[in-house]
Amino acid sequence: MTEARFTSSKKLTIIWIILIILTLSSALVGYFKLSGLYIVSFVLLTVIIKGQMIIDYYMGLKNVRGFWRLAMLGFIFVIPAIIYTGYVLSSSLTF
Amino acid sequence: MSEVVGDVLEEKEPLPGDLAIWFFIMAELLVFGVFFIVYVFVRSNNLELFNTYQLELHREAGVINTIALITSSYFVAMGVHAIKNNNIKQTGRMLLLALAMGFVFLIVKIWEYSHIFGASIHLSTNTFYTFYISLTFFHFMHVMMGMVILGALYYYLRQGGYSAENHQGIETGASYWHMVDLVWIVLFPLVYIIR
Repeated sequence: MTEARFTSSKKLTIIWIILIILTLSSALVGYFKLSGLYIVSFVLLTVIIKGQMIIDYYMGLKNVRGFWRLAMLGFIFVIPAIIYTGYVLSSSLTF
Repeated sequence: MSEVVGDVLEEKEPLPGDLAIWFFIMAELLVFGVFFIVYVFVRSNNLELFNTYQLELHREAGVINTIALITSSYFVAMGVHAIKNNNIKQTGRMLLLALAMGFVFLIVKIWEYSHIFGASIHLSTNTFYTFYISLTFFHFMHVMMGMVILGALYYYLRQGGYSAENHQGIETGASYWHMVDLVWIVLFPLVYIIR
């Protein structure tokens, strides 16, 4: 039991560290006021990774099969994809 | 034995919390999703305006708030983990720490709003600020509601309302709080970072 408990809380902590690192990477993009499609792709990719981690590990849906996990993952994949499409279609972006 | 806790099981697990909260979460995500899509559409027709005024925002405040919400979600997840192990004290501590992070978010956001409103910027200043203020304030209200829920969870925990066998309420409240975090994870880069 102790082993299982330790592993699980340790996993939550590792995920928190990854989430913070990904957030700081986006923060650097903001700090240096970077722009362009490569940057947008990178930041939105971090959004998808962070969202997937929160849904699977913090919300606890990793081993939940069926509609609800797919619906939640749908949000975190589809919305960034639409945002990206919108940015691609915007004219003044430099690649 | 209830070793379900330790992420050991790989087979199908039941949905955490009350089913009703998941319908509520989906409805909330749909509303925010539509809001985000409209933002992108309007931005594409006002590119220069959005790019100019986005740079006036306090990106550091946005970063602090993102870290606060992510950390708060972490504490809530640790709280759920603790209650599954019947560690009531640890659950209480985690809920209080999550609430503290929620307060950090509110204080930073209020500071941000005070700067903006102090500069005579309001909803009708321009299209960018219409979106910025309405989107972030809508989310702000969700954070406040989430904090009320966390406070109620802490209260019922102290009353002996939760245990390893009976923790659905904590999972329900935790799911709502994670949703608030999830929305901010999209909102923050969309409004503050990408251009």
